Amino acid sequence: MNTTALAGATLPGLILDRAGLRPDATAVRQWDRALTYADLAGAARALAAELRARGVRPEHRVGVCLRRRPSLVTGVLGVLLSGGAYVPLDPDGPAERRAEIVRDAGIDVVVADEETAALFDGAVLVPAPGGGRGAGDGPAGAEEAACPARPGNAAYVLYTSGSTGRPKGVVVSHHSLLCYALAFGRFTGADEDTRAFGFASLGFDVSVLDILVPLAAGGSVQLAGEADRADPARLQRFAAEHGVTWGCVPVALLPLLDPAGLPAWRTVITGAEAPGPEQVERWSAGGRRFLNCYGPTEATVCVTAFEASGRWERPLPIGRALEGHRAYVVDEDLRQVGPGEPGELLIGGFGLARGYLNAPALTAERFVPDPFGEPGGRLYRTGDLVVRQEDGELLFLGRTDRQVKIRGQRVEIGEVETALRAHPRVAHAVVEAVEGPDGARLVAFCTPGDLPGDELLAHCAHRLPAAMVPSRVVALASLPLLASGKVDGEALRALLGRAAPRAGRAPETGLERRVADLWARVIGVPADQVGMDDDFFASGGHSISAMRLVSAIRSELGRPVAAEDVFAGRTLAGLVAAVERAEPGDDPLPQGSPPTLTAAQRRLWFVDRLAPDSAAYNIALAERLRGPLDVAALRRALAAVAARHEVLRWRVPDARGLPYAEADPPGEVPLPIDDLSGDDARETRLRRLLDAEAGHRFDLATGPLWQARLARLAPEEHVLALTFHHAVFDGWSQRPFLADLARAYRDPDLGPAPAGFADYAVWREARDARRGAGDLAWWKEHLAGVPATLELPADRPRPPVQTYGGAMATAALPAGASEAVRALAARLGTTAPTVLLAAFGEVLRRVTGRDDLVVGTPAADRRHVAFQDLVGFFVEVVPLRLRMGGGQSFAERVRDCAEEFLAVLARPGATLERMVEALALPRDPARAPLVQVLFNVYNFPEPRLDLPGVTAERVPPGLAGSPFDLTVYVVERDGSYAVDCVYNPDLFTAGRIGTLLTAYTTLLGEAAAAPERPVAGHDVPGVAALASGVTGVTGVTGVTGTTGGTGAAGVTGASPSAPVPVSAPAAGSAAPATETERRVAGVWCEVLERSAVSATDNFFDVGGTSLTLVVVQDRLAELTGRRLPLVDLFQHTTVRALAAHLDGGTGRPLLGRAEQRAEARRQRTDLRRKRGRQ
Amino acid sequence: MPEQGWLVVVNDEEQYSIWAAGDPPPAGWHPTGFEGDREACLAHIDEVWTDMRPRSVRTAE
Repeated sequence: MNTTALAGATLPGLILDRAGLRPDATAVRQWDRALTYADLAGAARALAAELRARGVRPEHRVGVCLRRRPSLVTGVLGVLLSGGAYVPLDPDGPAERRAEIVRDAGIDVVVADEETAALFDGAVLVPAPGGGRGAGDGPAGAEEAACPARPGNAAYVLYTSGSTGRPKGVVVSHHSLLCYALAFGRFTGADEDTRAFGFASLGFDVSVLDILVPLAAGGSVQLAGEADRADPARLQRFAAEHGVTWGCVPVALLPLLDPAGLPAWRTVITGAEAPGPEQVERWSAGGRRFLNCYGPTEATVCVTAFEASGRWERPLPIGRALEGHRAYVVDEDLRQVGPGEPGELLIGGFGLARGYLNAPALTAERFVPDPFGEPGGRLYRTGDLVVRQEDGELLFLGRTDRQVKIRGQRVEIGEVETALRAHPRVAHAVVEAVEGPDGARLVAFCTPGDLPGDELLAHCAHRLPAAMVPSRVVALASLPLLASGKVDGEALRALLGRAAPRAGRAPETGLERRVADLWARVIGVPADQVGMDDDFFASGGHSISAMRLVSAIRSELGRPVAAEDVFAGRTLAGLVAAVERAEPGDDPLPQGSPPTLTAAQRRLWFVDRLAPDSAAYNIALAERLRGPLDVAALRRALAAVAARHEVLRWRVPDARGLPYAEADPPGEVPLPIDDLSGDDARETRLRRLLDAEAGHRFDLATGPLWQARLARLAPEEHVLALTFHHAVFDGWSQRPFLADLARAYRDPDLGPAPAGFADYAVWREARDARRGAGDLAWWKEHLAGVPATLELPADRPRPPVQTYGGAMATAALPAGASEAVRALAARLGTTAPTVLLAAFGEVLRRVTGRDDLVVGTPAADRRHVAFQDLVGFFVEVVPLRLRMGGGQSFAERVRDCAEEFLAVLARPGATLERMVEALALPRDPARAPLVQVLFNVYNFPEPRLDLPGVTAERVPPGLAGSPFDLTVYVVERDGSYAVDCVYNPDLFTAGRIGTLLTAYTTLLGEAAAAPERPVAGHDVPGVAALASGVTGVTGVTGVTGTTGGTGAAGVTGASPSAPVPVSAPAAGSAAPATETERRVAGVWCEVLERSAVSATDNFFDVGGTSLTLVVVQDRLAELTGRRLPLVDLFQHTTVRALAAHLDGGTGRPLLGRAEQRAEARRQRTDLRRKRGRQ
Repeated sequence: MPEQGWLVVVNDEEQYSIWAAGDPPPAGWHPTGFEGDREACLAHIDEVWTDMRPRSVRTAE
């Protein structure tokens, strides 16, 4: 920068020049409050005149205490124009802090507005535009005087946290301010059309970027007010409706805003702490510039920047020095170190502050002689540890001292400790920064052990800004010490995993438990420790986590709560009340809907068609009931529950290959009783009976789709076995089912349910219609390029048709691992199952050699409060994409998994089927589409059946089958975690699964104990054995050739571009050639609503889906009188192949057989009858 | 290892800092003559640097 050209010029002078050139251009806007440049200049001149009249001169420090309204900009500009230096005073911060700054800075004049004026004696009121001596009156006399400040005079003083226990004021000159505003504006392309995002607090140096950089460029500031800043949805709307084009978003907000909805925003700047690498792709899509900037307040705002785009999976560099700045990496003796060597970052250049106000020693220590640049120059020692990469970019590594960033703000831990020790009852206080869900949080450890934590937090809140107040106080009798006599920080952190007592009763209702789960996830405490009277902020919540909580409640419960509800309600009970009040989503709840199938139910119906002998989709439970049982009452109760929950009376017939639901009227529910009481081997017989029940084949068309059975072991000992088809039940349904059963046992009059499952189906269809396209687009992008299959090496060749066989194994975690998992989850603000998933992902990575893979997880779609206590199938299998960087620490992996969970759960509008279609994944009857391995995180305490005079105990039910190759269930037993694994024994031996579980639990124990170590460094026993085995399908060419495959190649090696038609060579004319081919083609055209298909088209390429394949099956049955197994249709996906199969199968021509036609007519008549009932 | 000695140094703007004794300070910086351990040098600066405005700012008034 040519600094001499600027001699004499000041930033306020430059802005006044802008006002002269374009007086009517907008300078500041906040909804309908806006200031033109003329308004701003007039009001600022008036303020400057008033300040000068009060004796303000250069070097005079003036307090600015203003609400976030456009007049805040007037206040800043007015002080600058007067020649004084502005000192922000936070109107919402603690009064003691303001008083301390007023004292330290020697402030005798404060600019305030009508609201904040009450905080000071004799404050100067910031003028409104056009009011008083504004622009309209024309400047006169002293008002006309240009800014009298010289380049070296102070422009502002910003207070940052000080390690000695007092805040320190950083004095920045007009020269630094002007140079920075112009250079950064040029670098980021700010101009007259820029509409800047005004988000940062005035006390934070980024506010200079937000406000003064765009004004220097002639652009405008879109100043977000308090309410809009506190709520992610409002902030999104603010940015969209103000057409923000440019600006800085705090790192913690990046994931909460949706860049796709902000297309005007072309330059996004972030920094102050490390952004999540995954944010780069979101924000840089469509050519938007994404800049990761770095700079301390002592160097004005930004001194380095890194421009990133595309996919990032490792920490973002902070880049290189910007124009006018220099960056040196030095050792302890201030000698430069080479690339790859860590060292302290020193900064030189125009941005360097003058120093710390009234702190000569501190200034001399941090601003040191510059051995590399101009004579007499200084460098600022940042205290930041960095490394210059081989490519020249700087990477931030950490601090050389105890400064931390809390929500982007600098905090000296020493200052927090000093504040705590000032409390009369505190003997010793140590503060640790602990990694949490939004980066670091502060935890205070204090002695003695009977300190009131709440009082200490209040004490801090009176003295310190919000970011510096610890999120939690742990009172201890004594602090653990190392041999050296220092406090043992590791030992202190280890205490954090321990349960804190919850306040109030435990959450009980469905809604309470859902809100509590989200609450726990956001704050980072175990869900079972949350009480209804817990205070959000006392539990470690803060403004950003409140935004995350609101976001989660909106997306997962469909309730439009606002951040204010968290602030106003404070307790979980208060928040639940707000959620209850909030109108659910945009889709009204339908009432009394006729039986309607959901997409997920149709998928189960299809699987049932595909594998008619499997019971994989059964859910079995069994309760041992001790005490006098009233069997008649139990029968009545079963009937009452089925009467209340219509879905329990559903069955799913089909009409010409299209499934539909029918409900039977309420009636008795059979309860057969097996009397085993006289049998010596009754437990063995019971086990056989439970196995038989669990393996029962439900006939979807005829129903019922659930059944109950009672085994009598003794006059007062029974086992109640309940078996449901998944199509009408899910894991969550257990609680309402058993609760209603218990109520009805006492009084069979249950009353109607708040909604029926059919209402859910209709509601869901409306919801998916509204947001399905958007969600599907997200999924398509999210899953782009994902491997279509996750093939674990097996012991047996994969059967060409998935078998759904089931076997089970279980493994407990090693000693101490459960505590470590819990502690890590709490520390990172996530759930224990997320930690378990991260470890499972690493095992899969080692075993398969893939660092990008998909596992599924079930998600409960009970987003409307009326669905919370309904029985039914509300579960969707959701793919989780695990992208694992080799160098990542375990903690990073866990954080990634947590992000992935949050991201996918927020997109319920697209079903797995639609994703499979959208991604054009190959269809393969040998395996489930997209998700072959399921990770079940559902971890709720198993409900018990509560009958009067009877004690109930869960009995392990029989095993139904395995819908996936492998399913991992995280379970909690006796306070420790264990892993249950259901697998398909047609693929895997028990030995292999045992090795896998050992590998998994061993890795989990090690990684959870050392979460900061690279996860790839941990030993995984048995990996070599697990990585070898059989992959692929029996007769692999035959099957890969017929899977169609236009999408990503599966690991079986199916080539997406060259499927090998096995049964029908593609040679010759593509037009259907034989009579059978023409008939088959005719059926296809009818079903797919196409005018023609060629003999070699793949069914799934010309619009066919799994479900329409069933319709083809049905039509062919009408034509031929013979119902082909669905799997045959899967394996012959061209007209030619299918026709050959049909002809070959009978050995005779397909058609021309009169009796077949007659059969077809009979079937059609039958179907018309069925439809008539529909 | 004995405590390293430090110098109090000043530039033409009369801004103070410290520099490790042994090597001459960079161009444009002059030793004030005060020498001692780090703490002593910083304490000395606290005493003598009473007007922290750069000299060019002070003299322009």
